[in-house]
Amino acid sequence: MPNFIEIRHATFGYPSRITNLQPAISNIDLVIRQGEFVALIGPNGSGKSTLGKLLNALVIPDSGDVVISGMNTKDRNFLPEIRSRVGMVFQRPQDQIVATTVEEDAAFGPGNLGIAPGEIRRRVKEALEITGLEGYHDRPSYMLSAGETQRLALAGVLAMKPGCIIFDETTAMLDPMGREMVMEQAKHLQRQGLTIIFITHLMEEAARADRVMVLQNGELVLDDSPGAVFSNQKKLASLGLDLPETAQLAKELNSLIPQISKGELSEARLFDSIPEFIGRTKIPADLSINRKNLSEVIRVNKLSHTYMRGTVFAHQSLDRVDFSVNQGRAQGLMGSTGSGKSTLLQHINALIRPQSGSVNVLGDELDEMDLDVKKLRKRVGLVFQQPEYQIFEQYVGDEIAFAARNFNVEGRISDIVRMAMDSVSLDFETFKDRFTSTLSGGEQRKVALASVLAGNPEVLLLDEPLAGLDPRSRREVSVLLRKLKQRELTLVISTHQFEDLLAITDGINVLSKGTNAASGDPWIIFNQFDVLEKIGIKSPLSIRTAHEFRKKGWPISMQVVTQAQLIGEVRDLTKGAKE
Amino acid sequence: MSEFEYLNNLSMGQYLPIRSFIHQRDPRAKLIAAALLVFSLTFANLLTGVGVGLIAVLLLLIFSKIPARYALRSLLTPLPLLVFLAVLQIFITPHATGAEPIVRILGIEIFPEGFLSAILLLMKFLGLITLFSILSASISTLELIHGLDLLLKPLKKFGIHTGAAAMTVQIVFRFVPFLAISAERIAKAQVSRGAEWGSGRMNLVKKVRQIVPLLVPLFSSSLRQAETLADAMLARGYESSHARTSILEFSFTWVDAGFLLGSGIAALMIVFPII
Repeated sequence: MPNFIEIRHATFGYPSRITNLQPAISNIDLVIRQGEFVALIGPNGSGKSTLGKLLNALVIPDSGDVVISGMNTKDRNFLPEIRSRVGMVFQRPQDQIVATTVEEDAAFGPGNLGIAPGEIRRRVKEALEITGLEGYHDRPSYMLSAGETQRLALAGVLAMKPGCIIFDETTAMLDPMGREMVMEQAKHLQRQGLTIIFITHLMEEAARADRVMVLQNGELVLDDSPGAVFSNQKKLASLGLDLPETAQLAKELNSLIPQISKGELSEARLFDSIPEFIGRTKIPADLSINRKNLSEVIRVNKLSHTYMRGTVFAHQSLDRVDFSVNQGRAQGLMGSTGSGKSTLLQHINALIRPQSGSVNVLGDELDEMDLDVKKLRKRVGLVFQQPEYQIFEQYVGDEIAFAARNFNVEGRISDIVRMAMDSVSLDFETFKDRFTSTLSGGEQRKVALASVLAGNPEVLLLDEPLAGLDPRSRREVSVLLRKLKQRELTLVISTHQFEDLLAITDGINVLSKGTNAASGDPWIIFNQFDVLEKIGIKSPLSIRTAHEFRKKGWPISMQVVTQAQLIGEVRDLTKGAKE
Repeated sequence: MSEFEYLNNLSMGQYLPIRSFIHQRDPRAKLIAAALLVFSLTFANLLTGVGVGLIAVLLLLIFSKIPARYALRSLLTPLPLLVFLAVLQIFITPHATGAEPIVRILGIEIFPEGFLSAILLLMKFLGLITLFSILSASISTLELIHGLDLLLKPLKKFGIHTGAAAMTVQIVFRFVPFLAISAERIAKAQVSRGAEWGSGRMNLVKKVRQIVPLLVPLFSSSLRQAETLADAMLARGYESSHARTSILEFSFTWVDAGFLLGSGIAALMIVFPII
């Protein structure tokens, strides 16, 4: 296969007033051949996006060369050609949409290349078909769902007939099925001969590539097959990266069941290698928890909501939804994108008032006109989806003090800010005077969390608290949530990524297209595989693995939810067999 | 309640994909017709002329199949200001010396001239704003850019980057809904953390005080957005020096010519009404 991309000793630093700043990319050498599928991983700020931009000639190396199909990006004459060869789907696909309707946006790239109108129409039609957007031609581009916007961004790139596509954390805000679809599309394009560069925070996705490159501080520290990269666990841990979930579980199981290969990256092979159960059948310990009779803090009855009511764009987001949460519990809210989770959370915070149905929070009926909304919002804090885009103050300290000032929280403001920052493990002295714009992704998420905690709420609503974070920040934020739960705060967590939160979740409500699809204990919900699949949700790996064990005759109890519980039961059972 | 749905209250700058007589016209015809009507309405100073203008706008509204409620919604925001200007107009319009006032309230005399010019002003703005709503709902950004590009082509001889000018217009349109969505996000973030946000009656000072903390973050988020958008455009092969093509091919038909002629006649009648 010919060398499609060649990078030779490339170094690049963003212009900055700080002179001895580490360059974003330093001295990278690599070759990517036509038709390869490369995953690019590394912590936040390691230079992944910058590397993508080097390939797309959006940035030109300060020293060294980037050569695409024999064309050096330093030669300005090649730029249009290079950019049509190397397409890029951006981190936030909505950033990439230029025109106001779907069809026109897909036509933007080919139009720039000076292609004849007839050919553009043909390409746009084909690109919209590949991405499943046929029939959306005239849709306003800003009224698409997250998944649709991502597909449009891809269609716009495909219409340019590139030889390589860079996916820059494209899947971060998508639900599991949406992510799967992007991965399938990428694989499909690779089979057609395209080179794929897949930038991601999710190790499961990286494990499916042909080759994994790991960046840290702008340097290429690992470049190998997924099997080789993910067997180097020490190195990964030092980079703040995880093993893929499958490999983590396989490693734990391997110590108990040697037939399961230690570095297994494929789920299907992991499931196949589970042996038939040969030990004595033992009734496993009852894992069900005694539940105290707790008072109800949130009760939503038959709530319906229509956005842009009375316009041509009206769409119903919630349809007679019921929902309730008891004091001190952590309630999960699950559903694919567009299922109405965010809308429901905003109702509980009184940002949206009920159009029909009722919402009762901490004893207040939220449709009453004389409701003291400010008092309610003080008691019920809301952390928005991707809260980093909603940070509005210049300094971290001010951002966190905002709620405390407005709600007149008792005590000195600086003490309150210090406490809020403590509870999200941000050091007060280091961070209080930092510019909010200079924080990393994980730090911004913590600031957003602290700025709500500073209002000292009794109920905390969290909208996708883990989405888009790198593995290290994801772990840190899950630990924070666990601590908050220990402080007896009532939590409502909306997410489509439950793996990290299984240990704290007491109950789950599943929404689908704005209606109630299921509710109950996590083990009950997650064992309904067909129901979940129908609405685009995948059960956590631990629960699906437990199910596979049961199929092979292992008496694993149904209540098993977390990986630790699964390992515990398997350990007990294998001990029993050996005795 | 939808106190934060800014997108809802915004009908200017939103294209409505409808297949109508107006939507199908060549963008050049649409742009010139709109320009003719805007200029003639602006400079009309007789009641009958402005009346003709309103009829022309009404006809456009009917033939574009745009829901009237949608087009009229954009009137709501500037309405208080318009009424204020109209009332002002009543008092400041000069009147012929020795003319008889029609009414006399608390010693303030109201003359027919003032009354007339107030009505003229209201009618003109009604027509103009509706016209803008119809134009933006019936011309997609790509059509607009291409139309402008074609119309401005003669300027290229003077070394003006007409392509870049047209692209600037496109970006402005792209940003209108973006700003509405950003404003909604930031307002919600502030309100959920206890910022006061009255949706009902408020005095001007309070209203301004509520908007200022929104403007700064909105500005910085727009800058950030502009930067990424510029990157995205470059990544998709945009170079302002490059000759661009379009998915649309325009052919100026006899129907377009007729439409333009009709608009021209209307414009003439607005400025020089024959009574």
